[in-house]
Amino acid sequence: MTDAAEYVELHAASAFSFLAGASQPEALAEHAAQLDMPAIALADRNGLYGIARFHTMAKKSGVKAHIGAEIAVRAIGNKLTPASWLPHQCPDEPPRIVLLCSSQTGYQNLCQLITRFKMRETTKTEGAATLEDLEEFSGGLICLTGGDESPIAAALAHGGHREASRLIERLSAIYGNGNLYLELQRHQQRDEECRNQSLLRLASSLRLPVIATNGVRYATEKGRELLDVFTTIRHHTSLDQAGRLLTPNASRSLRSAREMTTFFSDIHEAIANTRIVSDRLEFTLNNLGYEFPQYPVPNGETMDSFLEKRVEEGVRKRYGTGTKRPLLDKARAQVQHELKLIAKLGFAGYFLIVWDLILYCQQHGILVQGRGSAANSAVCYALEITAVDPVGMELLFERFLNENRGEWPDIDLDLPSGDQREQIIQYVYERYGQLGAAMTANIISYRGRSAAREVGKALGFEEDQLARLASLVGHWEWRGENDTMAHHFAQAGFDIRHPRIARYLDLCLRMQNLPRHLGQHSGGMVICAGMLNRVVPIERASMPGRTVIQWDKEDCADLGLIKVDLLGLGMMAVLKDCIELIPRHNGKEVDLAALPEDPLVYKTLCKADTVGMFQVESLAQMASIPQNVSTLSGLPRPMRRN
Amino acid sequence: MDSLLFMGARMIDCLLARVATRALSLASLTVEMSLEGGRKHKRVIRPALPSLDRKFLLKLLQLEIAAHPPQAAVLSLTLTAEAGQSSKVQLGLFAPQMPEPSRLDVTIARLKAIAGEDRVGSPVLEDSHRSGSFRMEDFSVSGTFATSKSSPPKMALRRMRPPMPVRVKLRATKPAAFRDPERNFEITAAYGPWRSASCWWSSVGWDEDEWDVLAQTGNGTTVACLLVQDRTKNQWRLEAYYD
Repeated sequence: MTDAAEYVELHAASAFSFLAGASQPEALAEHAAQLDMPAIALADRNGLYGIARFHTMAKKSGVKAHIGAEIAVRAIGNKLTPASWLPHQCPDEPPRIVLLCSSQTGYQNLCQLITRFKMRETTKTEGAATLEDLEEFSGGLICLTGGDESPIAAALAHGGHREASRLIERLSAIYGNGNLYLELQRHQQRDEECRNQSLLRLASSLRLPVIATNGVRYATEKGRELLDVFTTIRHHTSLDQAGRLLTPNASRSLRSAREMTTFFSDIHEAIANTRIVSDRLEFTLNNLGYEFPQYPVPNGETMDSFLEKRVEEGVRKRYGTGTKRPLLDKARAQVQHELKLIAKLGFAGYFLIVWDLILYCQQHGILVQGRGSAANSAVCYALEITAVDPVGMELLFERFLNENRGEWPDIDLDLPSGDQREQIIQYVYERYGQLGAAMTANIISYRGRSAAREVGKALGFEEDQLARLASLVGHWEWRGENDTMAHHFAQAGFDIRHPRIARYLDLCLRMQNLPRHLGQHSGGMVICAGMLNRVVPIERASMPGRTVIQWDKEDCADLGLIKVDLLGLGMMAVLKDCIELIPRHNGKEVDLAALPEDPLVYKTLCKADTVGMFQVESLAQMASIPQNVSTLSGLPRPMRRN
Repeated sequence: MDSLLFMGARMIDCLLARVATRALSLASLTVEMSLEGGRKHKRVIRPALPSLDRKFLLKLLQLEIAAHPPQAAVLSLTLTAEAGQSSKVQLGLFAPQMPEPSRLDVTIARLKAIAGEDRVGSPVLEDSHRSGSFRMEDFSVSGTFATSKSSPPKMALRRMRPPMPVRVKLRATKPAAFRDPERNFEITAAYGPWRSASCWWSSVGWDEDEWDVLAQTGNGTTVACLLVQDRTKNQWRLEAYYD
């Protein structure tokens, strides 16, 4: 019997290869566990978009998650396409190699490599590395030459052994002896086998090791159908017209050790090497190497001491005079308690960075306001990040920051929408460098309606039929028991047992939640003074002047990256006008941090007469009978992703 | 048919007279018939070269209607035409005589009427993973000739159309012997399976394994051939010989 631990899949791409893979990273990790595979490597196209989810699921499933990526390389020809005498629509694309991280240095190099070629582009695009880039960021990486997307495959087809040999020697010089493996894949194709025989001869003549992979694009065979649909979407065609763009069979699923050993029964070395390489891949996301942001402080100061001084100044300003004077001692005790925990957890830099943003806003006349649980912190109040007095209102600091909860502080800043918010975002880029700060990503996934349209197009449905089918799918995220696609189709008179409709429905359902492309979060920024590109790859956003990391906010939270939310809010501009106009017309100064209690406000809320009132005007809120304002704005919350 | 052609001939005469006054010819003829029951029947006749030959055009019309007869009684007939420049070909004194385009058109139309529309023309490979798939396109002569040197073919595949069903004996999932209606073959080497499975979304989908085999007949003759197993029906066929 085959020992399942004998084979490790080292070349698997997920749906985070964006329309070039058909399974979630979690599904790959889960299926690897079902196959008793000890480890699996994720290598998505030009990115590390899915590694956080992959790592989390692999950890849960007891599988070691290796991290890597398929990297496009320019200036060494194009990817292999069918022979010129065969009709096909395959476009010219740069070939790709697989890079796997063997150490933290390797991971940092991979992040920097991807950032380098992505940021070289002036707009959001795939991009490709140069050989010089590969050379600069080669340490700690193991290179597999790839399958049919490999530059070696194209070189063998166009230039024969001599050309392939020259290219392999070049890669070997970049990655060093022992870090380059000639990759063999067997998908039951004649031309692929012919290439394998050539690679075996090259491996023997150049004394290089070979390695078996399956160039996985989906977890199980069923995933092939979705991959074909994705291929048609990527190439703007339909399944009937796609021809050789599609895969010739369904053999790119995750195969068990037994299957792979059978396929490579004549090249046992190729299977054995997967385990050897897996053992060498010591890096996991457990040791990401991320450090909390550093804030530059004057000589002789630490970030903790500098923060303490700024907070003391703030406490004196907030509580030193007027009605709040009696709370001064209590406030001092509270900030000491908070500062102790902040110092213990090493978050001083983060608070100083946010304070610095507040200072910038104040100097430039931009109204800024912290929102959410930050209002429970006396330190935030003293630093003028928030305007609610947590000492006077006896708010619980532990709701914001709690050592036992293992969560990072999350400070959301509300800013006036438009130019002023953009001014702050650009200040952050300028202050921390292009490679030190970036927006968090927003993964745009397929939902009911978009899946219904795209699958319909792929199956060649007419436009009016498509519109009719898509209109059956609800708009809203919330789903009742009967609010399913199948139910809607049945209600609309479609026979969901008809093979064509059943196939369509099945594809639509399977496509749900699979990523389509990368967007940017509305305001979340990650700051990592000068070193963010060693933690996560950064790329251009569609919006000019913006850059985005390859993870969304949930991934950042899972991997311990702290972010600042710079949210645009039209109401902030209205508040700013009020602060200026009320003294001018009524002779009264307004301090947002010391607003008087007004019974009329509560009375209006209780009457649900809140149309046009920010934060409290939704139907859900109007339908509630509020006991106080925090209940009213706190209850209706969107759900967190599981 | 006769009455249709009688009407058609008169209409062609009119069209010819109109294009001739402008020194043009007929490049295409569109025949549209209104049928009993409200349906329409439309055919387009496109000769290889624009023509003014009434007899030739009428013959094409006859063959087209014979190949695609209307499915109900014809209530009305409309003929529309597209004009084109008359063909002017300078013949060389010593150049071999080419067949007349009009005669070729009539011959092809006749062949189509006998063999079927999709079985006459030039074979063109299709953009599909299906092994050996092709479609027929109309004959056309392009003005350019291949100039690039292509490497001589290493091996030719002689396809059997239609393929021959065979019975195959397996040994450990590999074909070991097969039998066609006349002979037994012992397989001495088998390479494969090469799997092709696609068009899963339609009724013409396939799921097949191909085997390249070297086989010996009883009299010691060795042949290299291509065996295909239809995995959905579990049927084998001899698809081609390697020359």
